[in-house]
Amino acid sequence: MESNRNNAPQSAHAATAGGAEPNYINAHKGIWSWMTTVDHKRLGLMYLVGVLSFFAVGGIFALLVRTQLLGPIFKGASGKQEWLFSGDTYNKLFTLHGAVMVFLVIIPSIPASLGNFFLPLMLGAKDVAFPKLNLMSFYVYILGGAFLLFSIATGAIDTGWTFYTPYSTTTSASVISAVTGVFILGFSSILTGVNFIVTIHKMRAPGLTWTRLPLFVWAQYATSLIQVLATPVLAITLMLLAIEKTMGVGIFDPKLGGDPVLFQHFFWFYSHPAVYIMILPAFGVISEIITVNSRKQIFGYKAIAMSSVAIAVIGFLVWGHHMFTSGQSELASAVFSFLTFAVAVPTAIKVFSWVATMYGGSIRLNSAMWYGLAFLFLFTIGGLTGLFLGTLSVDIHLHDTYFVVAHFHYVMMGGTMTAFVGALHHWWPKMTGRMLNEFWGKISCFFVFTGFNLTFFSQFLLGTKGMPRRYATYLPEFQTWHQLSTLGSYLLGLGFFITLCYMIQSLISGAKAPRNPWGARSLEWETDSPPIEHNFHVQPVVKHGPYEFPEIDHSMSTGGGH
Amino acid sequence: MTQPSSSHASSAGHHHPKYLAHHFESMAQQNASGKLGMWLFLGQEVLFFSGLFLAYVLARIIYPETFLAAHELLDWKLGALNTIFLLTSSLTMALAVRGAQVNSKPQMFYNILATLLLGGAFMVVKYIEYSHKFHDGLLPGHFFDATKAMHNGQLANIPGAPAIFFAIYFVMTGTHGLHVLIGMGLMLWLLVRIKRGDFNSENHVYLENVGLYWHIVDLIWIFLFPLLYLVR
Amino acid sequence: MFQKLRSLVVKSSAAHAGGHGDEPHVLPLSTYFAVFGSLLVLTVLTVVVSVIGLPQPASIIVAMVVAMIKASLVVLWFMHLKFDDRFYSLIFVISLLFLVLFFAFTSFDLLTRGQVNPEESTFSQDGSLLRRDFMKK
Repeated sequence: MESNRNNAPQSAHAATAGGAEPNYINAHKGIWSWMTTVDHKRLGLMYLVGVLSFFAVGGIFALLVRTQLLGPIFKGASGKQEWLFSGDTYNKLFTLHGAVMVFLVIIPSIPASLGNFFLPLMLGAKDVAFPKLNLMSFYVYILGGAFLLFSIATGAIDTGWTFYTPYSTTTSASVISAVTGVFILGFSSILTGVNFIVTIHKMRAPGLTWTRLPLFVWAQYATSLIQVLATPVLAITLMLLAIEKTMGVGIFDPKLGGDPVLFQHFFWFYSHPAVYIMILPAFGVISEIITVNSRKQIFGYKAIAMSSVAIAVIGFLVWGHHMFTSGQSELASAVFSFLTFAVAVPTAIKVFSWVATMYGGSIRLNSAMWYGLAFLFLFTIGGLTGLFLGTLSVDIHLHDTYFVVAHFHYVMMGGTMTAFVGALHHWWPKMTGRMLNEFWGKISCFFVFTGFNLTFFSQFLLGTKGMPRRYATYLPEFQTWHQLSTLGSYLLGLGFFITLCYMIQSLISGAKAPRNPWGARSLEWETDSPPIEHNFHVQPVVKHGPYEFPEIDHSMSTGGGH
Repeated sequence: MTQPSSSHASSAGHHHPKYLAHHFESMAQQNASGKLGMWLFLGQEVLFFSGLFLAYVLARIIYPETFLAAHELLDWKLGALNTIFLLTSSLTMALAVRGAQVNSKPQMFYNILATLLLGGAFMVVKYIEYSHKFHDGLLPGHFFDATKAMHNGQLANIPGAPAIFFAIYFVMTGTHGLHVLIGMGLMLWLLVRIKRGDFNSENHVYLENVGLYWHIVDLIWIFLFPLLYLVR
Repeated sequence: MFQKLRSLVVKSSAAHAGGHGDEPHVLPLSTYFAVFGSLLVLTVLTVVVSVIGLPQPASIIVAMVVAMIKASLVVLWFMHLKFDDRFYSLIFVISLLFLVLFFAFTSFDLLTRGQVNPEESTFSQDGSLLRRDFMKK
């Protein structure tokens, strides 16, 4: 890190010298130029603002849920339980937390915001393949989000984010507007996926072969593949659900002759691959952060790249492990259980490769790397507990307990969101042209990491003791763990609040960022910080892999791009 | 690799065709990107419809006797007529793309016009079928009334779960019909652009993509027809 | 498998790098009409087979095989997949594979229910349809 500080003034100078051209932020002025922009960088930034706003909304719901679980206050032998919300309100709160976080935050988080911003830059392209389509998917995303928020205003949903039938088709809550919102969001996801795949295939700079792609690009490629192939099934599922609810069709309702398990098949055929939509881009981010900050060629480039694709494919074969206790046939459950273990193999390949990359590297512990290491720790716990749940017999005991909640949050929150925040730290200088405060970055990472483990490790313990998920109240013996968990969630919230503060501070008065503050080798670091409107002054030509570091310390940070 | 040979890249830079977007190097790159995007979209369409077809398969596994009895209430002759309309429209669509390849504006225009009209004919027949179903009370879900469901003037007696059969019939043909309507909208837009002279042998990837979409719509009908009208 | 995929990808990129050189592949008109003629004949065939009324499993198999042949004709010639970039075929085939996967696993569940707990079965013991509570009513 010290060496970078020294390099910073030089690079900043180089950036201003080459940067007579205005950057993408000030090239056009006025709100209208943002509303109608087809620039992938501006769209990425707009997605980022959208995602972070919804993250705040979902986070508030989460804190309310946790606050409810501080109680109940047990009064005497009668066991009268009273606390903040009624059971109905609680159902709505956790549903909204889940729906907002899954569909509006985690799914678009890395792909739509950072992917949009950095994919063309990493490929040395001027833009994504279909810039107008890109703008359209942004508006589709906003429209979908509006529908989802509208459902909150009109009575909210209380079905859980999974919309299981027949409850969802019979409840009086505003399921229709919520599923319409998710249906629309799906299209945003599909269009982004199509756009990225074409961009990766057709827009690479001269010399940028498939084995010279940064691993973030490979991860995005695998993610886009799932987005394109799985999301339409969600769309049709939700359409059938809406028709079922309005017309009483009965395909999913046993009272009308249907089978509710079929809905679960339809839903999880999308939603299991969807968890890989959520986690794969995080893998890509971690590959970048760990390698750049270990300043060493990544261990097992091809293995990591191919394991992304392998996860994308195998991820389609395991959806039945969500349905072990639903009445699915025992034979099918056994097959799904077996296949679930297969996903662990490519995932473990990645984790081992990251650790091996750090071994013998010259590790720089900046705040992005802190988040990267937090990811490794949290994701490994999340992944391993996934194997508990994939084991048929163990799952019978753990199904629908807090163990599942904890596992899911270790993967999605401890995995994806930690990587997302880490990625923000890593690429913030490039996106905004400002450096973040390293000291406060580490403080916030400490709070996030500690708070997270306190929140969710207690939930593993609760789960094994039999605490079921989705209840507004519980038996007295669970209270201590619940209160610890709530305390953790407040620490977690505090951590993110600190992050928000120093990010705003950086925008106002942060140090000017050099072209390549971390001495990375991939193309996005070869242009100015922030990049010019059409990304590169001259078409870059790639002559080396993304992680070939040895010669870097001499040439790179003086801005040798042109 | 996206690597245009250096001579090629520079030549494209010199005479930048007016329909080449700024972020592409060459027409070939632009066309290939457009088409790849469309094929990915078609893959998406296949999986979108897969949900409906799977619902059909599962309902048929559970209620085979319903499907055998209820399909008698659909008019296979109208279904066959519609099949012919769509197959012909696929032919004219393919010929329109060929017209673009050989740079013939009239071939493009009249073939697209024919495709549009055949799509319209398909929708008219569909409308006739739907209005019969509405009239006879053969409707999905709780709109289906066994005491009023008529067939050839007689009370239709369908075993099992007729409400589910008609729901699947309406959702499948309805979703397909919606795709036909969208396709017809795209045809109108194509007609305008052909008149304007936007397409030629070098630049017709939009036309080709609408064609690909239209063929997929046809493809889905090729399966819907025997599954819904010709159950045995 | 991996090598094959790779060659496909390379081919796909090569097609693009070829630039203005490769003119679109123009098929003779007769090909289009021949394909169209076959489609009509096959349509008549499906209808005839249905009207004759083959026994239960054969009828649906014939109908689906004929539909698949028709679909292949449309995809290969009308959609030019036979002559286009092989990568498009790969995408199309992958989407069909996932469709098969979706069908296979879900029907597998439906058909094997109740092998351990007979009361969970979709169908009753004597082979007649049970459909549980709904049909009892």
